[in-house]
Amino acid sequence: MSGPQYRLPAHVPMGGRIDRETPLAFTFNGETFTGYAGDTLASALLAYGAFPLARGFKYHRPRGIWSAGAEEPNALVQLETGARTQPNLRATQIELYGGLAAASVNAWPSVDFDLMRINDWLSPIFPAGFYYKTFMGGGFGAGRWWKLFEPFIRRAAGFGKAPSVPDPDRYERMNAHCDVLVVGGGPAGLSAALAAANRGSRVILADEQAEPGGDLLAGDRAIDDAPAMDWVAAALEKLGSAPEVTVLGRTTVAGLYDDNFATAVESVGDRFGPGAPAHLPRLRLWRIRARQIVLATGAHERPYAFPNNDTPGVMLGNAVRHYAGRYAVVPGKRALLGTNNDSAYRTARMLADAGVPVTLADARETPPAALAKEAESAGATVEAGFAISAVLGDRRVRGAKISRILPDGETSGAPRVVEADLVGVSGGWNPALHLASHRGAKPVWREAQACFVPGDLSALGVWAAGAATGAETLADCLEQGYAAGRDAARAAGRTKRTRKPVLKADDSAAQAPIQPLWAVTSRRPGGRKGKAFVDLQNDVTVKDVALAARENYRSVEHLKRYTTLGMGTDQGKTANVIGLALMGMESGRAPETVGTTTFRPPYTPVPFGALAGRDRGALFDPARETPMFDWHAANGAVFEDVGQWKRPYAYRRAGESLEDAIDREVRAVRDGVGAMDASTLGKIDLKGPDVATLLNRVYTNDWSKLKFGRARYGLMCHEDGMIFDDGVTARLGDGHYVLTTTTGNAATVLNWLEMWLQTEWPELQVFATSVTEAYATATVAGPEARALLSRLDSDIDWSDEAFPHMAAVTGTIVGVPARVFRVSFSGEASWEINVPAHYGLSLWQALIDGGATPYGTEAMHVLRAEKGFIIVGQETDGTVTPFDVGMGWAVSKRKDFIGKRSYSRPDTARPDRKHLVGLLPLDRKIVLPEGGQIVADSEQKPPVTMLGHVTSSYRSPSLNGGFALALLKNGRNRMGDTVHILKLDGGADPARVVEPVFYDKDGGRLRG
Amino acid sequence: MLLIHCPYCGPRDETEFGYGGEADIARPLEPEALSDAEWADYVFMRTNTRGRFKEQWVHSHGCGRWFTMVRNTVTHERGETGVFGGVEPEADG
Amino acid sequence: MAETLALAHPLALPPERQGPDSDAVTLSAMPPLVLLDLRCRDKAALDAFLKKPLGLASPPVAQAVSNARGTLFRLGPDWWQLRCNDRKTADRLLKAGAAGPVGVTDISDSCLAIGVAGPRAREVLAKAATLDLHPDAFPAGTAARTLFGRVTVIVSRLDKGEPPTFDVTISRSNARFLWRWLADAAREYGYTTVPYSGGA
Repeated sequence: MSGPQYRLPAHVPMGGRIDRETPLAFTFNGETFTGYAGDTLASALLAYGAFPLARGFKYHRPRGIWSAGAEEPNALVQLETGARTQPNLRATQIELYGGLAAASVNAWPSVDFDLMRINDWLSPIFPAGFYYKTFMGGGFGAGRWWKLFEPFIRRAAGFGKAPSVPDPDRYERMNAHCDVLVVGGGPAGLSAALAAANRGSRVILADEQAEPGGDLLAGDRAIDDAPAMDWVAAALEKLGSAPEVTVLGRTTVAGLYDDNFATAVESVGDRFGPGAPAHLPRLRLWRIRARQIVLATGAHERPYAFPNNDTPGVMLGNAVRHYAGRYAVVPGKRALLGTNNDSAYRTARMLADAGVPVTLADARETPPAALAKEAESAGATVEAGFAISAVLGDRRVRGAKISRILPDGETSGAPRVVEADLVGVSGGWNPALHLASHRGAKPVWREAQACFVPGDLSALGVWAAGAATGAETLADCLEQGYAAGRDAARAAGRTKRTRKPVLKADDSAAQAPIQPLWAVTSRRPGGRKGKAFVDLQNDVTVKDVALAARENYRSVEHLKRYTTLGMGTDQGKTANVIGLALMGMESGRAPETVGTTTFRPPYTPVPFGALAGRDRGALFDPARETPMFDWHAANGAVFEDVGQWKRPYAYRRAGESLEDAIDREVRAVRDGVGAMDASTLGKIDLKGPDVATLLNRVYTNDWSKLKFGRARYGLMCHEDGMIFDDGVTARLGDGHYVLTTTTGNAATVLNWLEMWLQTEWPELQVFATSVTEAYATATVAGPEARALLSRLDSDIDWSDEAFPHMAAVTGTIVGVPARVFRVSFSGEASWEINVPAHYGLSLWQALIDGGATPYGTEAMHVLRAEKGFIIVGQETDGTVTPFDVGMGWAVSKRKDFIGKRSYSRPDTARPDRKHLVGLLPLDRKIVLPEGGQIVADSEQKPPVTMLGHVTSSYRSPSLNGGFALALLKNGRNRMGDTVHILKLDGGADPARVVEPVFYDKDGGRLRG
Repeated sequence: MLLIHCPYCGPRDETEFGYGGEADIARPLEPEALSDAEWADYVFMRTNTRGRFKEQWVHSHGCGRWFTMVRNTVTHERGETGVFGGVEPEADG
Repeated sequence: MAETLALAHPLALPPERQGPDSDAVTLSAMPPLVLLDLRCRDKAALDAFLKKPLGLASPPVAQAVSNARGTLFRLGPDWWQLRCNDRKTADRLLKAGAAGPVGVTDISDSCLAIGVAGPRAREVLAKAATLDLHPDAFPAGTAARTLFGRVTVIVSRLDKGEPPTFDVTISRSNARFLWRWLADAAREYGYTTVPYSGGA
């Protein structure tokens, strides 16, 4: 690559946004380039000429930079390598930093020699709908074709590569509130922010560019007879000194949502590249709740289509103006501009001033005389009634043709060849109404300007101003911005009156109207040669749109899906309106009847890192720790997540397998004494005179006669009669109970009780307070538990007479108040000791010092399954009644309760529902798979009759082998039968159906 | 992301609230007196209204109170809120 | 065996100083709380109940009032939490609550309090809180139960000082998670942590 020969010399008074004193070296596709501070990657590359730096998506034709902003369809690059690599960034929005390394995407093997270019020559077989027709159709062999071609298509269509290693950067997320959020820092946005700030509003101004100014950054505009950028600087100073104004530069508002919630992405460390200071986040996601929103998002210029309009060196006309004015870059020696409206005259003037010969083809027969005269006197040639009809050259523009243009886009007469290596095309302006669309505003077609403008959203507190509403003059932008800022502030309750500033813009005069022009090409088959692209990112041509129309696709949504128009990462910012206008012409409909597709967030792509923020690694999800956590962590606990809790699954000793550890823990409880951290069980204190009434209504069993100091097990069901929680409730005093829930349901049960108490039974005097976290709970279980507890310094009498099974006692343990419940989930004599949580660790240590073996949740599971005790959520799944699990004894017939009526519904009352049973595999060495489907005949041909599934399955040291619990259709009447449990890898294991209690059937041990 | 006006706490982010479905589904006083069809209607059937819909919400991560709110299920436009059990918001709260 | 069990505070962690300006944010672990949960359908009854033992009347929802005996947080129309400055006040209220129209429950060990102070404290909390923490929207005396990401907290600002000091009450099991979360969120500004080091 030769030097930056397209950078204007320093004496040309352009390039106001770059700092020529600060050169920056960078690489692109491995080659070294030099730009300046203030450049974008795109402007720095264009200084070396409009060379191909990308390949088209489908035909792999060479592509160059097309725009100077967020609407860029072509110049997608892979930025940096390794862990920090980012795919598909728009070169037009990457601020240059020293050492930047970027590469092309979608070129294989390279941008200069692209094997996939063959698709261009084969293009007759890739028409619109090719993928649908070939791969998705129901026709012969569609699936087989897809299998064959998928790897090839995936490789060919790849846009960039996702990083393959974890992202080392930090991402922040910030919630913010304001009276007025102004989106866009151009003249309208700055005016709006000033107006709102003057009224004392809390204002957030978000601007996506490296510096605010919007279109004024081109440097060719004037306000009050001075450079407009002076006004921008003064406005920013004013906003900067207002205490309630936050100016967020480099911040793209990505989406608007209900109640004026906005998300915005701020580039913080990102713009410094990999050398950014370590404490800075790469990006910050702003979550802004705004009372009112002003959309000053500007407009995107659209091209019109013509053959070979994708050749590098063809760009949007206004982009040419910005590259010259902002960065002193004109990527050509002779320019041709094609236009159908006034705005290209500024570009022509800029180019002429830069000393670049320029021809301006204006499709209008009578261009505005004053503008034409001004352009010509600056040295430009104006060709009225002409449009660009072809581009010559392949990898670069080598010239162009212009033709006399008819109103329907057809040309007349022979084309004229124009010498040019830079082509700017200016087909009108599309207000950037994406954010208004997020809030549900239907775009409104404005015939006079041939554009869609955002519908009125002021009732939702959303106001649009400036070019975003179709405003064409700087005067209108300033005026509308101020009015919108004032109205928004007023609607936000800031009623202080202020005086409107009087500003003189350089263009208050009305201009000549646009003459709509969408494509200069024949839409007829066999018409003009060369592809004319509508959507450059997805390679959709004028012919594709015409084909879709001929195949009778009428809805714009169908057009989009059939041709992929507007489905790229740019969401068709420069393509959609042309596409639907052409669709309308084909089907004889005006654009407003064709309609537009709905824009959805985000406005431009948002990296996943920004969305994830701090939700990663150790902070991904709250990890709840019990009071005994530190002991567990220091003593070999293997943790499992139960909800957000970290619970010890088992404690592994040196040299021990996990299975060995579980066996050892089970044996310790059966033969000696074990201690389990049960702090995660939900605990709800219930107070008030009506607690028993509430319990009677929410539990299936009767609570009227529960005495002081006693506890009882209960099943809680929904109105459909299905079990949703279980637990023990103890009565501690007059109108004072403590209810326990399963670990996972603690919050759900409290909400359930509160819902009934508040919405249905407000007459009940019951106060429910969660005390789950107030107490640490240790379960001490086993034949030697009583002996251990008796050795503790305590005023509690642990004897069976004083403290029988299902008793609840309060007392003192080693100087600390305790609530102790004698309940058993293991089948052994067992006490649940509750002490204030801060003392839990110390209590635990005392139990371990006293000889208890710590056991985890898996040993607990084995112990309870041997006893046939259910776990809600394991033996039950929302379709299981108390009768199904053999707990009809816990269902009262005498009182009403939630769910009772459902038990007499025919389906619930069926005698052959699935019942809880035990299973003993015939081969006792195996452990049946949990979730395994049960069948009667393992040889049955499909469809196989499913009888149920295994709910819990373990190896038991007490039973010397595998055993399981299962839900089995008509199970209680199948005792002794042999059933088969299907295995994932084929085959089945036979097992015998038995009662679901395997150990100590008469319960003598837990009462011992 | 809705900004829901809790009758007691004022506007709060939607994430603080729990959804309770259709409002005014009263529990039958005598379930045993209902036919199977009537009971099933109470347990399972909801109107799933398109448009203005009176719903129950609970400010789970705030004041803990249930309340009713009218919401347009198409536009999210909110209407009046109501309280349960006569627990009225205070004028100064 | 010891005479009484020993108290363990989850935020007895090593102190830290990090980031460009370690004075930008200070995280402090407060000593164990004496905390009562109070439920009552009738504010007047609650006021009458608290008048003698505490000498505070209920503030509006999402506000707190303090005196030498404690701080009364109004969480909902029928829900309060009282942070007592001494055990005696708490015991007196617990005893009185057994009979009255107010449900009184000792939940002392269920929560911990973290102080978040310094010139960037507001920004650190804004990363977690969807509530508006601007001094106009969150003046001294505000105490709101709300969501910090995925954990429920009570965030309050008890005095008028600027830069502000926020007090965040968090369930015990989530305290370390929130502590680490806040420290990580403060890293871009810099922070100092003052963990619990014993004593009340």
